[in-house]
Amino acid sequence: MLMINRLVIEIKTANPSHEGIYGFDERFNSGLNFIASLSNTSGKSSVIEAIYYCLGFEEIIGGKNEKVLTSVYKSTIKDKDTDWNVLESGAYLEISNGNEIVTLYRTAKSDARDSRLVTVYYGDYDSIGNQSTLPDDMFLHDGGAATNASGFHAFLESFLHLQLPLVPTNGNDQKLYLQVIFSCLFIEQKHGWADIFSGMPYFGIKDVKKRVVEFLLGLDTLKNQKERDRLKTIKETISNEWKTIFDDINRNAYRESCYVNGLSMWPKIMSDKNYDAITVTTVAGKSLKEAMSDLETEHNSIKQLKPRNVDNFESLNVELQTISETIISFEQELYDCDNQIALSRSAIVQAERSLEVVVRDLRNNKDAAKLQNMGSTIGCKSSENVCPTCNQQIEDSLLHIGKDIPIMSIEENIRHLEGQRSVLEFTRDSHKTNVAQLSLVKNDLQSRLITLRRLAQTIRSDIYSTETEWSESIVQKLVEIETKFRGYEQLQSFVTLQFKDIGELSDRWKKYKDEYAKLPKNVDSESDIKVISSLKNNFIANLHKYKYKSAPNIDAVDIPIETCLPSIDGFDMKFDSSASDNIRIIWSFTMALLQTSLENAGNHPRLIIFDEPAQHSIVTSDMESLIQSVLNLKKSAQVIVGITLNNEELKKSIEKLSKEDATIINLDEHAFKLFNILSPTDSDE
Amino acid sequence: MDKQYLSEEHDIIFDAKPDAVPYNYRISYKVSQICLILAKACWGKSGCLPIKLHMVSFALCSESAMDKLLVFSQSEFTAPPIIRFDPAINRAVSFAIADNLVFQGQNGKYTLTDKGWSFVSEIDKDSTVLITEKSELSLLAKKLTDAKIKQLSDVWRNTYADD
Repeated sequence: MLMINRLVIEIKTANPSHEGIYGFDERFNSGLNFIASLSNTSGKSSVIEAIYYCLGFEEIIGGKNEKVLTSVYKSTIKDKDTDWNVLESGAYLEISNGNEIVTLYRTAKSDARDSRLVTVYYGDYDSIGNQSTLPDDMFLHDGGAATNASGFHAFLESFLHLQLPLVPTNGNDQKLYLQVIFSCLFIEQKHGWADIFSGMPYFGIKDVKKRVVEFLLGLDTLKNQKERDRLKTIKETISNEWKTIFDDINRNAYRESCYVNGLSMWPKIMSDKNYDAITVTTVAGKSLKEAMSDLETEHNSIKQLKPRNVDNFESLNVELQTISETIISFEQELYDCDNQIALSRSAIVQAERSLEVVVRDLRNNKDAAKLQNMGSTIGCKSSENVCPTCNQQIEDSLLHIGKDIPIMSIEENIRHLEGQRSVLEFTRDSHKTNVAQLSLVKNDLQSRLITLRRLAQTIRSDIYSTETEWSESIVQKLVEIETKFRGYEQLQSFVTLQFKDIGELSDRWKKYKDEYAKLPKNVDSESDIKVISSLKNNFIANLHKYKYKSAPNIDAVDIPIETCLPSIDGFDMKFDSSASDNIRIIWSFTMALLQTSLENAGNHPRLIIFDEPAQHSIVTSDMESLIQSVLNLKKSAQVIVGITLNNEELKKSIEKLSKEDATIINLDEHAFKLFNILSPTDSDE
Repeated sequence: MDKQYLSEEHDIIFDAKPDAVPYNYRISYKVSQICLILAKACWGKSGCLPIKLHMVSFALCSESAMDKLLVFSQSEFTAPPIIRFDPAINRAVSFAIADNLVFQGQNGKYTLTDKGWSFVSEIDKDSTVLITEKSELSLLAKKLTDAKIKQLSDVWRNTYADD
C-alpha cells in the first residue's frame, strides 16, 4: 500500500521578511483527508500537483517535468498586493508503504538540480540531515526509469511491493508503467473528469485500461502472463543448447569432409524415425557406413597388390596420369573458390561502409527529431515547418528540389533508414555466411590437394626407383586409408554420443510444449469471473448510492470480462449519461476498484485522490454519500479529496465530520504562506 | 500486355513518393549545428566569419575532414584544407536569422542572440543529442582563429589573382 504522511512545499523568493520562504507543510492521515478552501484559486490544485510531481506522475496532468506545474512554482507568487519572483522551489513528500517510511524530494525550479532528479531520503521528513538518513538520487523519464536500478519508478515499484507485469505493446513487451496505474487512482481536476481513466498517459500498451483493471484486482490473466514469460526463457535455453549441439556435430562432420542431413536446426520432439533420418554423408554422397566399407575393400585390395615396383609399372603410370589431371581440376576449383571469397569479402566491406553511412544518417536524423522538438519549445517557427518570415508552410529541407516533389518527414525518414539498415545488414550477413561456407570448401580442397600431390610424388619416385625396391606409394596409400578410416570411426561415435544429449533436450522440449499447451489461451479462470462480478456488484451498488439516473435500469449495467470496463447493453455508458451522471460513473468505478481489491486481496495501492469531485450539478447529498462510502472503508485506505466549500450546505456537512473520521486541511485564502508564520501553528498539532 | 486495355480502361497513375532527405539538409539539424558552432568554436561577442562557418560545418561531416582542420588550425605551415561552400548552410543561416536565433553584426559576422544561447543550453542539457558534434567541437574549441582564416584567403588571392 501507499500512504502519504506529509507534504512540505518550499518556494524561495526575494521577500526580505522571514527569508522569503513561502511554503506549505501539512500531515495526512489514513482514511479520509480533505484539502479544502472557501474559494477557488487558493492553491488546492498546486498542492495536489506537488503530490503527483514528487511521485513522478506529472504525466497524469499532461506533460513532463516542471512544465505542468502552476506558475506559483516557476514564476511569481502573490502575497497581498505584491508579486514576488520565485527564485527556487521544490517539494518534500513523506510516504509510507505501511512498514517503512521514505521522503522524496524533487525541485521544480532550481539551477543546480535537474528537475528529472528525485532524491529519496530513507527516513521521515524530520530526520533529513541526520547522519543515519541516507539520501539517494534517482532519475525519472529517462529510458530505463522504470527498469533501471537507479530509475525512480523502479525504486517505487519495489518500495510498494508491486510486481508490475510485462504487457504487450505495438513492438516489444513492456512494463505496465506506474504512471498508467496511478492515472486510474488519481482523478485530476481537469481532464480526469472527462471519462473513466481519461488521464492515462499514452505508452502504446495494448488494451491498457483492461490491463490496469486486471492488475489492480490481481486477476489470474496476469499470472498466466508471468507463466508465459517463464516458459519463454525455458524455450530460449533449450533452443540455445540445441543449436550448440547442432553446430558441434556439423563442425566435426566438416572436418572429415562430410555433411549432416536430417538434423533439424531448431528443437523438436525426436522419434526413432527422426533419429534414423539423421545421416552423415561424405562429399562423394556416400553414407558413412558405405564409405567405411569402401575404404576397407580398398585397403584389402591394395594389400593384395604385388608390393614391388617392377610388377606395377604400367598401372603406376596410369595412376600418375589420373592424379595429375585431378590435381589440375582441383586447382581450378580452388582458384574459383578463392575468387568468390574475394568477391564476397569486398561486398562485405562495401556493405559495411554503406551501413556506417546509414547508421550515421539514422543517428543524426533521430537527433534532428529531438532538436525539432527543442526548437518548437523555444518557439522557432522553422521547427514547426512554417517559414519564420512569411508564415507559409515549408518542407523541412535545405535542398532546392522541385516544388511538387514531396519529401519525407523526419519520422518517415527514420523508418526509411531503418529499413535500409536492415537490408544492408542482411546483405552483409548473407555474404559473411557465404564466405564461411566457401572457406570450408577451400580448406577441404586444399587438404585433398596436399594428399594428391604427396601421392603423385611417391608414385613418381616409385617409377624412377630401382626395380626390386618396395613400392613407397602403396605404403603411403595404406597409411592414408587407415587415417581416413579412423576419422570416420570417430565421427560416427561422436554423432551417436550427441544423440543422447539430443534425446534429453527432446524430452525437455516435449515437457515445455506440454506446459505451453496447458496455458489457458483466452479462457478466463473461474476466480477471475467471480472477481469481475463482484466488481460489477460494487459498481452498481455505488451507482445506486450516488443516485445515478440516466439509465432507466441500472441493473442492466454489465462489466464484461473482455474489456473490464462498464457498459450498458453493450455500449459505453458515457453515451447515455448526463454530464453529472458521468461524474457519478467515475466516482463509482474508482471506488468499486478499491472496494473489490480490498475484498479479494488485489494489488490496489489503497490510495485515491479526487481533485474537485463536485463537478457539474452534483448535489450535496450525493457528495455526502461519497464521503460515507469512503468512511465505510474505515482506515484501510487513504482518500485525499480537494474540495471548494463554496456552498453552505457542503461546508456544514463537512464540518459535521468528527476529527477521527476525517482530516481537514483548511487552506484559508492562500495555500502558501511565509514559512515562519506557519511553523508555530504547525508545531501545536 | 495489351496496351489499349491499359490506357483506356484502367488509367495508371504514378504518384511521386516522398524523397528521403539526408540529415545534413534538415533545417532542424543544420540550424542547431550552426548554433552549436557559434557557441563552442567562436568568441562570444566578436562573432564568426561566414567562411569559418562553412569550414567547421564541413569538417563536422566526417572525421578525416575534422582531423585536417585541426591540424591546419594548430600548425603554421600546413597546406590549407579544401573548403566546401555549401549553399545549404547559407539557407540554414537565413532560417536561423529569421527565427531570431542568430544575428548578423555590422562587421558581417554572425553571433548568437539570447534566444540562440538558450537553445544551445537546451541542447547541452540533453546528453543524447549531437554527441559526436559536441565532442568534436570541444576538440576544436576556439583554435581556428580569424587570423588563420585571413591568412588562408590571402593565399588564395596570391595564387589565383589574375591582375
